[in-house]
Amino acid sequence: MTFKSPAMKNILLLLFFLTVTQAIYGQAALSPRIASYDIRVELDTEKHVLTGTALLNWTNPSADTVGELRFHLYMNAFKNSRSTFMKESGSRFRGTKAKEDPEAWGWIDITRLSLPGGADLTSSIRYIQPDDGNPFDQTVISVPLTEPVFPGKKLRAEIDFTTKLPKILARTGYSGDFYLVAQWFPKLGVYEPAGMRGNEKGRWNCHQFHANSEFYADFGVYRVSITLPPEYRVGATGVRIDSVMNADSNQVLTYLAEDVVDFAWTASPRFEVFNDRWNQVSVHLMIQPENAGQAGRYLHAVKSAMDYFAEALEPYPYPSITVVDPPLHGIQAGGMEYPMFITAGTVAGMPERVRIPESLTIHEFGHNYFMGILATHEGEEAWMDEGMNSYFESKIMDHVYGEQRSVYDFPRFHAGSAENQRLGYTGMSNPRIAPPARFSWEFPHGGYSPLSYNKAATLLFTLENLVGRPTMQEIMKTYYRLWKFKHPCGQDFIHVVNEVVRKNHGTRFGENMNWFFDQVLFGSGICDYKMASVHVNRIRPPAGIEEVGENKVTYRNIEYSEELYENRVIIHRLGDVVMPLEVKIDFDDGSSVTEYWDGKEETWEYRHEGTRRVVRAVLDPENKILLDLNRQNNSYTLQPRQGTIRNWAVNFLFILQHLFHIMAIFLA
Amino acid sequence: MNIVKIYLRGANFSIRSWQLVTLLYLVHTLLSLVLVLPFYSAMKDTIGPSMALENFHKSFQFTAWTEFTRDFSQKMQVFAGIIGYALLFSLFVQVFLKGGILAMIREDYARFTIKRFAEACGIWFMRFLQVSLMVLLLHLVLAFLIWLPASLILQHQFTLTLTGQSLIRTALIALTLHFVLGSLVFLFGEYTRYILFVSGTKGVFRAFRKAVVLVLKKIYLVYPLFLLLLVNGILLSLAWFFLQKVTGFGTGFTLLFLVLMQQAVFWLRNMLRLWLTASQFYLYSKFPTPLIT
Repeated sequence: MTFKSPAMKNILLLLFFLTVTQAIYGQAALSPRIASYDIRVELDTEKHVLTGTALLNWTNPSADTVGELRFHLYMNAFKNSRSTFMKESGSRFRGTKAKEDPEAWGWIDITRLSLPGGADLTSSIRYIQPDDGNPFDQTVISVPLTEPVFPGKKLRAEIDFTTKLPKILARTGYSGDFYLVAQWFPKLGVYEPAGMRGNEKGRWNCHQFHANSEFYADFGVYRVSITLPPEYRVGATGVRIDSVMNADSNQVLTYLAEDVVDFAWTASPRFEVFNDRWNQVSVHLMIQPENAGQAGRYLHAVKSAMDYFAEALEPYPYPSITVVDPPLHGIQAGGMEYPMFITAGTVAGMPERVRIPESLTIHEFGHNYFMGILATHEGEEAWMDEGMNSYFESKIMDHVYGEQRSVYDFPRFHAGSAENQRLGYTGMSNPRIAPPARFSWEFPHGGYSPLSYNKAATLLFTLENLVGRPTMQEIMKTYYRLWKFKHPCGQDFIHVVNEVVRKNHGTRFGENMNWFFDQVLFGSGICDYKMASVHVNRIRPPAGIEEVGENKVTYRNIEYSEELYENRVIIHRLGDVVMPLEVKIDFDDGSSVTEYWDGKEETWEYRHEGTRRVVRAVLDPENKILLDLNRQNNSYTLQPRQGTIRNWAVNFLFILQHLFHIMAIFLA
Repeated sequence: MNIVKIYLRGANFSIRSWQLVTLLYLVHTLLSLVLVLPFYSAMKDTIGPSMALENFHKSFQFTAWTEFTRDFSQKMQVFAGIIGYALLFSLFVQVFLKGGILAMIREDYARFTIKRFAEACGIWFMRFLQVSLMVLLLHLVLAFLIWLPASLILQHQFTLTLTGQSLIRTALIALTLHFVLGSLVFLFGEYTRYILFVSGTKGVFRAFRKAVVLVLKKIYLVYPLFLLLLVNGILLSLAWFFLQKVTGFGTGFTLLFLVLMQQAVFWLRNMLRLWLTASQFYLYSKFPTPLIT
């Protein structure tokens, strides 16, 4: 049997890996365990240095013969101000100038890289800069192999490394005695076989570390032994399988994490630890003592998210989840996701009605699905993890804590998560700045977050409103079922959307939904429809001269039995994006009509002649098109009610009176 | 019992002085209206024929509010500058009124006429303006002296300390310090005016020095009045919040009721202020012999 398609070859190879890994590890592998690590590391809490050895097991997943390895050395992003990360981020070090504080920098050195029983490859390591050619960037290395790795074959490499942790920034490092140890070991890039994520041929996908970028790695099994002083409390990706004291009276903690793409851990002597359960999953919360009163909030949030995802996608497949509450001085460690391990954040005294810790926890937990299990490329297609995850974060927040009050919940001021997402996008100073589908580091300044998080989430909400909630639920379930523990790309998701929408709605939305994604995901145009005007004119009896036969006669004495009106409702499309719309028109007799408009023309007019008068008209009355930048111009009334602004005006008067009064008391 | 009698005397004065209270109320209201009318006009212009805010009285809507304020804030940028000038103008007006108010209190409201009131305002304006500027300057210096080191400490704590609680404690200590010292500055200014007014002297700095000594020596007598001023404000605010909760977000007739309530509360506040000013003044100068000399 010959394989004409490289994709077919790769699928068979994938099946082969799943079988092999199951045989090796003795239990059902959830993922193709392509890159597994056995790491022993020791933390020097005086120097903030990690010294370790990683044993890498890599299987060539492609039909190619691979002659080099590529590794990420993420910590070198913090080595000096000339790294690509630092140049892109403007050398942000939480206001600390490096010259004044040399301890702030971080770096990683590979002191030995060898193949067991084979060559020492250390001297052949060279730094490469595949993205920007910046010769000072040392975040990616290439290691030519003395012997290539054939398709489906394994490679074992032993790597000694030393990592100096930076003062905390970009969600890694130390602050006082708090450690968040992430992106800390030499991490193999992803060898993408031909056919995967649209690749025509196999290649290493191993980008430099950029300021606006996250991570991408293959699934594997991580067995990590951490040695550190006994007073430290540790939380990590995976499950603790061993805990012993060594001869130096340091503790040695061993963790096992299967089918994950990364491994991170935290340590601090000050953590208070709360343990809970969700079904068979152990839930650990490592919290600052001053925030311990908020433990219930964190635990409720994470378990609510687990409930929701179990229903919306599938139950959380890992045996544990650890939630970390960083100290205020290390708050830059907050809001980050790693498999089975997330960091959130709060401050002492955070009001219960301000649900920042909850939304952070739910968001970061969601990344276990959107990045951890659906292991998309966070750098190349951030919308697929941040956007989809923000969409789910908002759905969960609004479901658990109430729509329009899930984030801020005061009696006279409240806001929901979904509307916050939308306003994050619509409030951009220039929403046309870039499309959401773009490499993270290529976003213009200020574009990354609102476009890859907020716009992407909002476009998914809009998609849900268009195709209906049941169809959207089916889309997400299908996408998850097909692509869990794999590396899907944007087109894979769109393909699922097209399939499910066509199955459920036929050609109601066209041949496929590409028109939608082309405009709002791959395009940077804006959507804004405006209810331009409403006109009601009384129809007068005809006047003047008409021709009756060969005679010219004057209209006389024509009376209508009742008053007739010509009604016109005019809508303008101000943006480039075209969306199908409904228009609801209300008449003075209490009746109303709903018209459907494909939204394509630059202007659209509704005309009606009859005894009824239009009193108001509303575009998109059910607020389906959340991508519409300005909803204030979506309605038009001929009977304006000024109650709200009058109320604001009199309250403003009252406030000003008191302001002047207080000034008089204190200054005059 | 003298202090109680002084409070009663002050209350009696303020109740009888409804014309003066109304005058103060009108001045504040007119100053406020100068700003509110363009504000209202700009809001109407922003919302136009849109129905986006129609249901706001039923429940707060974050999206509608944000979209409205986003458009409105552009119009408000010009408006914000006007508010600054209005506050400055208001300061001059308030300083101007102070002389008249004290004259009315001294004369126990015996001969209130707009002419006499305005004459007294004019006589004391320049001296009281100096006092006000001095007080303003002291407040600024005080803020600088407290918050500069406090912010340095906070920055240091943010970087090095282990808990967030110490940040809150530091901020609370700074706030308390600012409140206590700020209230003393307020009292220094207030008694400087009384000393100037009673003695008729033009030496503002000398009067200020006397006021500092006097306030510090008789702090147990003067401070309760200051606190009462705050308590009044807080109680009125609480009453206002309660009433607003009962009436809800008023539109139509309920809005009219809301306006009437607001204005009644503000009128009352002016009366309470007059009560305390009169009490302070009597405490210093009037009944039966000056308690503070």
